[in-house]
Amino acid sequence: MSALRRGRAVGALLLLTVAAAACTPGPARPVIGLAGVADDSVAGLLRDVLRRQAAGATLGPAIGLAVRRPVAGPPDIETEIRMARDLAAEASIVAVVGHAGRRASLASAAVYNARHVPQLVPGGASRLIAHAGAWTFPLAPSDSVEGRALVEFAAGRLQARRLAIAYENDEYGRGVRSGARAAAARRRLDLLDELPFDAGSDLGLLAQAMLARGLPDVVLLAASPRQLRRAVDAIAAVNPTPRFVAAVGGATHAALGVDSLARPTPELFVAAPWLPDPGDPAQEAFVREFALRAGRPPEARDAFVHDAVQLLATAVTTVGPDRVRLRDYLGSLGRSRPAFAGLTGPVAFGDAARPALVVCRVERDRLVPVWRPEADEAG
Amino acid sequence: MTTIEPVRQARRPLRRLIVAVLVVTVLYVVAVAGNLALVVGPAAQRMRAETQPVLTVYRALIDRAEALDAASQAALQLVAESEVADTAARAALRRELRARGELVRPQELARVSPAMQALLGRAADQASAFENRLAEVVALLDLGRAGEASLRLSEAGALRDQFSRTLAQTERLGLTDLLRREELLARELRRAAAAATAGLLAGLVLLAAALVVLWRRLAVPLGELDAALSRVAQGELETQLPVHRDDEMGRLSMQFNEMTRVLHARAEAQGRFAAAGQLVADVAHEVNNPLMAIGALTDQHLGDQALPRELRADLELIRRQARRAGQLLQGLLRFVRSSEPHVGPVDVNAVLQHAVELVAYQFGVEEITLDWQLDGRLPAATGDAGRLEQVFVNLLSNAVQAMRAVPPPRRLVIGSRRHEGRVLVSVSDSGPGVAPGMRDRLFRPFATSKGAAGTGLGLYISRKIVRDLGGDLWHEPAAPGARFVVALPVAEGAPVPGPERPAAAPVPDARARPLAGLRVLVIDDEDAVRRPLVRFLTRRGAVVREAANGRDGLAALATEVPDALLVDLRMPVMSGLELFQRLATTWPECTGRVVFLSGDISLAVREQLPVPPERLLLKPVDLATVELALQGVATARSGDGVSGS
Repeated sequence: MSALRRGRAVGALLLLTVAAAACTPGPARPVIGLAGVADDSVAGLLRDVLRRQAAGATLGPAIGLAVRRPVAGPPDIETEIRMARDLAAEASIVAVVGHAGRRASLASAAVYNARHVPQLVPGGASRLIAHAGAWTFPLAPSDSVEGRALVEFAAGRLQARRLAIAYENDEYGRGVRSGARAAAARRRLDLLDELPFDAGSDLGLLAQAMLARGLPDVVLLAASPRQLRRAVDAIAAVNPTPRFVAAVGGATHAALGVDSLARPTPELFVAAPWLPDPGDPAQEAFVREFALRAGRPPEARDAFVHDAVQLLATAVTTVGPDRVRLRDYLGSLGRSRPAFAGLTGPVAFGDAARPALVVCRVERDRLVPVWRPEADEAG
Repeated sequence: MTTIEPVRQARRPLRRLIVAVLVVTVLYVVAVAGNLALVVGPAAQRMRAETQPVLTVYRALIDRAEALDAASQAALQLVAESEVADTAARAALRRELRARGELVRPQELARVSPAMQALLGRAADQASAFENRLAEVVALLDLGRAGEASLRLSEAGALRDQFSRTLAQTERLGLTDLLRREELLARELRRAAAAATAGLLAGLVLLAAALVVLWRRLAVPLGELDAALSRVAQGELETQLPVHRDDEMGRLSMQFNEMTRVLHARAEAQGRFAAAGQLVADVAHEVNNPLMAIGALTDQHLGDQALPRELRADLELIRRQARRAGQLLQGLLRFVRSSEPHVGPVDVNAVLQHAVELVAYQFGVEEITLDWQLDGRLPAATGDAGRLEQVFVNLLSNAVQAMRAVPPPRRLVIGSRRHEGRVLVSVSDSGPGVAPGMRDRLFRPFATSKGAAGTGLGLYISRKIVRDLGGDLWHEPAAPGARFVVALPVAEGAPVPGPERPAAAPVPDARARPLAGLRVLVIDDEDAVRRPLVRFLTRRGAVVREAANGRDGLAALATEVPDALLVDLRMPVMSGLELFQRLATTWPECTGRVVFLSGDISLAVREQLPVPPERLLLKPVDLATVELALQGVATARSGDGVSGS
């Protein structure tokens, strides 16, 4: 073969190599899955957050969001599991933030742990989620922690000695009841009654029987905002004396309408996993932007979703889009790495997590923070 | 003979083949076991891990159903006994309702199918709703509204029925789930069984191939070797093996071939040696008779007192040389007959001297100076004189041959001493010494540095002889040359042998007649021996008759029975031994009167002659010795009360 022919052959080979490289698809853009925790407007806000974060970062890939909208109607476990499987099957999904509701979070956690996908649970955390597996990371305090906080506040701040608890008989209500029961036993308080109820319960009857058995200083409540309203109304109708300390699963603002009942209500306090600090510009900006886009103030779960997305973006920038590395990164927060500084406070998991609860007084259209566990313990 | 060098750095393909077969076998076993462990084990574990939550969940549902039934019964009883039911009973039911925890733990929940999770959620909701209704029933009872409580309990019953239906659905789902998992496990098991079967078949093929290879590489050559060894055992020393490959078996065949070649050559050499030994014996016999004649005639003439001085000196010289020649012949005979073992106390110095006599003829030619360093008070050693002489001759011959490689002067030192209960004999030469590479193999069979001139068996056999006698033989480097040491156990209790003295050779007094009147029959085929003997005995006073063979001797006996018979052993027509046997049957009283003469008396012959050793005279023998032996016969007869006249 002549030198000229050899040169042409080498050139053609180089050309083919370059063309093949150009045609080869590059590595997929890392994507964070949002499972039932954000509608389009919230997703748009989160995309902006990611965009701003990417613009500020010197390194790291652009990160996308895969949004699975909340399922309308009552929670359907099979739908949630199908959603989890779909997300886990996508190679570009590096982690998932979700799902909505305790039962859905628990059911989907099984999928993510089996498929080795990091899952950040933004709200409504059941105490059982801590046992779901090494790939599941709850951001909000668990229901039993909330229950404990209710008792601590009632006993510490309200000087209550006689307690009763009325709870919606679901996983959340039973979790709050368990935490409250343990804390009352620890503080040697009288827990006069434990009253399970649901949407079909005759709350008036139950309240009458409960108060007939003994008058508590404080009634602890664990229910959704709707059932909370019914319970407060029923109990106050029988006897307005007791004060109420309630856990509403993070839906703090939804509880604001409780005091708008026709008859006067006694003092009502709600525990919130997060409440925006008006003095914090970042939180103030988030609240403002969120309200603008979603048409409502952000609940604690929305803030946790924001923190989760931002945390995952930081993690991907730091250790890359590998799921195992991301899991290790999340597990190392508060231990070998400093806790992530989120809107809701320092984010860490497991033993390193710090419950960021605040108890607020409900005053018509606003929530007034009156107690934090750390402050009380410090005092 | 060729030296067989040990093979160093030899290739070992056969060994590698066996190792490879072993490794493959181990890998195969590991692979089969690993396949089963990796396929069936995880599937079974997965089945167990996935089945367990289903069973746990179902058990939890059953427990909850039973608890709900119990609570329902308790509520029913409270309603029925509302008039008398106390507060404590209602409180107990409330506590019972409060005690309910979660239906299923999340660990189990996570491992069941989504459909079952959904059913469990529904069951949990129904159970909670039922409990809530029961709570209302208790509240109504607390408030004394038993009638409403009864109605509410009926409503709760409907919820209980819903829960039961959900339970049944869950049961069906669980069963379906278990059947599905069982099918998966069965599929895994079928896969594993197929893989195991394939593995076993592959293993069988592999094993068969390995057996064929090993059979061809190992069993076939071993069979050939076995057959060849059998042929060698039957005396076919020329047997050779085919060499198939350049492996261990091939090298074994080559070494076998070399061994048989050496053995064959050795056998031929031994055959020649045996023939030479027989020839020596025959020659010795034939030479001893003339020597005997020479000695007898010189003895006879030396007995003449009128013999001129110069002539006497010549005759004495002739007699000494004849005796020396006789001694040399006796040594040769002893050496070639040394295969007959006789272990007992041995004068090692004497054996050494005998051995030296056999090889001493080379010292002058090779300009070798002999240095004796013998211990005069050396105790007797336990041994076999003949075999030890063979050992010493071998060592001396080796020394002489080794010293040929160096120019004169050459020095041979022979020493003996006692050391720690052993008799040590050393033979040191001034030769070049043993090459370092040869030292380790010095006592191995077929190891020689003499090339074709050596058998390579001398030192091997010598050490074997010495070790059989309870001693040892080893080599010590010397400067210059080599030094071989023979150690023998001291024969405890045996007398210390005195210095060997040359046999006295008195010339009988010609005027004395010590055999006066003794009737002697001399039977010898050699006229040159018989005649001087007859003349000597006659002159010594004996009445002598003579015969040329055994048959003539018997004839002479028929006429007169002598007082003594001097009989040669080896004779034509009838040997001395045959004559003795005839005497034993015909004239048994004569057997005690026989004195034998022979040029060669082997042990076998000696054992057939029931006569004391002093009546076996080995030619050449002094006439005085003959006279003494005959006197002994006469004395024995007189001791028995028999007159010689």
